[in-house]
Amino acid sequence: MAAMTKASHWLRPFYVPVLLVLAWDVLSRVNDSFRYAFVPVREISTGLQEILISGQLFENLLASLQTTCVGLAIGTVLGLLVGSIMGVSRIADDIISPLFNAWRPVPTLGFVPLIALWFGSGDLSKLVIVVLAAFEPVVLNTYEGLRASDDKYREVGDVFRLNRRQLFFSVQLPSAVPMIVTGVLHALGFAWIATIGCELLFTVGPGLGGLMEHAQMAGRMDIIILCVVSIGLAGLAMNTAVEWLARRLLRWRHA
Amino acid sequence: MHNGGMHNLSIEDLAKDYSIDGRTLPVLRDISLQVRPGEFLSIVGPSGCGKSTLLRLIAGLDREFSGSIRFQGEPVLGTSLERGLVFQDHRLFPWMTVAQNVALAMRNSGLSAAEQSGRVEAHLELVRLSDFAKAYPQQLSGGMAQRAALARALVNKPKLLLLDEPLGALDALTRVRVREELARIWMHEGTTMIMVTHDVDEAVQLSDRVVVMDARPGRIRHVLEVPVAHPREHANPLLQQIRESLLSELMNTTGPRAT
Amino acid sequence: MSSIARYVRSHLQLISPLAFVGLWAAVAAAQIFPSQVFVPPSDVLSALREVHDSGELRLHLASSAQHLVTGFASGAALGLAFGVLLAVIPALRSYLWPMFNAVRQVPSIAFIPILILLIGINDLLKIIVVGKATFFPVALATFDAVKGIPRGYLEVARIYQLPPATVLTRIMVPATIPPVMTGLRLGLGKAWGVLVAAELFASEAGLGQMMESGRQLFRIDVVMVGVILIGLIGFTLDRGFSTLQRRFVRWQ
Repeated sequence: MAAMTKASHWLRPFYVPVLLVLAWDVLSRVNDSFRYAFVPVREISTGLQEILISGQLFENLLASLQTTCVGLAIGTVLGLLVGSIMGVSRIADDIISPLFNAWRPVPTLGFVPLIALWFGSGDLSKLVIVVLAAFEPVVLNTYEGLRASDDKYREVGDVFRLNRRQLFFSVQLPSAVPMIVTGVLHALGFAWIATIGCELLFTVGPGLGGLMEHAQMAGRMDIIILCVVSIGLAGLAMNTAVEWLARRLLRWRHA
Repeated sequence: MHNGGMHNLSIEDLAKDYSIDGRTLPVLRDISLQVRPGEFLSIVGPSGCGKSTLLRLIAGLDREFSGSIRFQGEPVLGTSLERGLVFQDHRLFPWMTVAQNVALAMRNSGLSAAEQSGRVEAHLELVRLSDFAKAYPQQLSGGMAQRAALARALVNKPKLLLLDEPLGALDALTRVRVREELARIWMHEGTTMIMVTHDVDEAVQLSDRVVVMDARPGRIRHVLEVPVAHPREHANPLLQQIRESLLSELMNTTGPRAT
Repeated sequence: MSSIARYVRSHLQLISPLAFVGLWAAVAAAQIFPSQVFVPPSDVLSALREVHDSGELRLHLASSAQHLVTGFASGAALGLAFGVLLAVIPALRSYLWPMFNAVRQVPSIAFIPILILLIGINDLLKIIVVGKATFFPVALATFDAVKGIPRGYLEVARIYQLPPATVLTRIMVPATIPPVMTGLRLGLGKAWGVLVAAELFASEAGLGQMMESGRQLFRIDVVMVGVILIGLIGFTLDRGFSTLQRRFVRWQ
């Protein structure tokens, strides 16, 4: 009896999706034009086989992941640099803040036409946009983390005569690490979205977004759906991986 | 027993003001004090008498004052590894182990790596935390963390150790235990110690002299001698007497509750 | 420090953007980059005047505004309802929560191709996408807010036998307004971002579309006008909302 209730509880998340899939299937049988939009489930599975076997899904997924990772890496490094400079020097903060705050409200993808005019329609532009997307949260969190670095720890540094460099690397930066890690997590999400967005907007080059766009132009709903699912899963996987990494890095917090 | 001779720390006509919203608040006035090398000195007084401020000025954390503070003949212009400081909240860095925390104090001491690790070991043993060298501060109890902070403050073998209500954050039982540790360490190391505390019991138990301060502005009322040999028994009748008179004196000073 | 240096130092935050624009004008005048690619600030201003005078700007603004408002309102309303529902009826959670999170994982723009095939490129497309972008942060914030109402408040209400209407208006609503407003603000920001992306991708009008056609015609000055306006609007929306937030909190 207990086993049965446990099983039924475990199955609950699937009721609604299954219902939706059934409804979808019913709709696909209504007539031909509906069939075009609501692609029958069977076609989706054959479509899946098609793009899996041809390696298309894998190739494009890899390309997207690569763009995201490289963009995230560059954006993080730049963000750490700028955030650190702003966090440590009041003068740098006063100079850079107004410019940074003027740039922030513009949605990252809103820069696409500008970047496209400057850097062309290829991979370089995509990378620039992804770097821009990742840059912002890292700067913000590094800055906040450093600014919040407790005065009390700085006094300890003063008592031990630590110079500015030692103070920064041994005290201020480590105390800011939790916030920086949160920033990188956000940056990952933004970078992924920016990647897909760029791939949709720049039709050149490999990537899940590009695959989706071509599928849309060819009317292949089944491939689009598979892409959407892949995008969601990949995003989730990356997020989980980075969170796990973060927890290992911050072990001392939970000791 | 301390050697007579040159004073370790010499304060003359020290005064300090705070300015808040354009108004100046006098915090310390006419502070003059000569500290003997190797002695244990306590500073007691009601809250707001500026005793912590005084300690920070001696440490060199605060550099704005009038009058003179001379340490070993030289004016105090800032912090120095010769003057250690123990805070009320231990302020161990949570991202470093106990050993790393203690070692950090020697970063600019010019000692070799071998010497440094030797000192870390020795001082952890001194405070009886050798088994916890690799632990993180969050894994330690309050008393243990404060002992680690003590080790960190002593590892540079400072001539003067300043303690700002070091036992204030500990519960009653732990406080007594750590107090005994402090006495033992002081007798072992012979470092001059100046401790700020609001605990009369503690002050009388540990100190050779007790500086009694008035509040608003902070002034030295008088300096009490505690001529009892170390190690001290808590039940010593002379100590009892001194304790009681000090307590009643402080109670009378406090008067209407000041904020 | 000389008095000039001191003046500069204390007004750095003002001087910095001005210096930036000055630098921009100087670089453009020096023709370091081809004039196709790097236009001086004056060109941007004249482009602004151009799109304004031709009536184009009003059209684009109206289009963007209309879709933003409609999409945001519907997404927010649904999000509020969903959040409250799930917080108040725990049984529903195991049915709906996993699916909610799964769909939340997918970036809003990724839904555009599906929607194009389903309903074509039209107003509804943008409204749905904006709605999706708004729905999730609002639903999440509302859920957290309602679920997070401290037990203590409700127990106090029970002790004083307060009628349900009072409990609702005097306790539950005020307790949830701040986090819900934060969620709405977040949703608004995302909505604006998604709208711009959607207009870049598939639209006949709107600021995003204005930038896209500017790009196709190599009118970088028009593109820059677009960027600046989009930023201004984004900023105003966010600032306006947080001012509203503060008003609400003070009102209590």
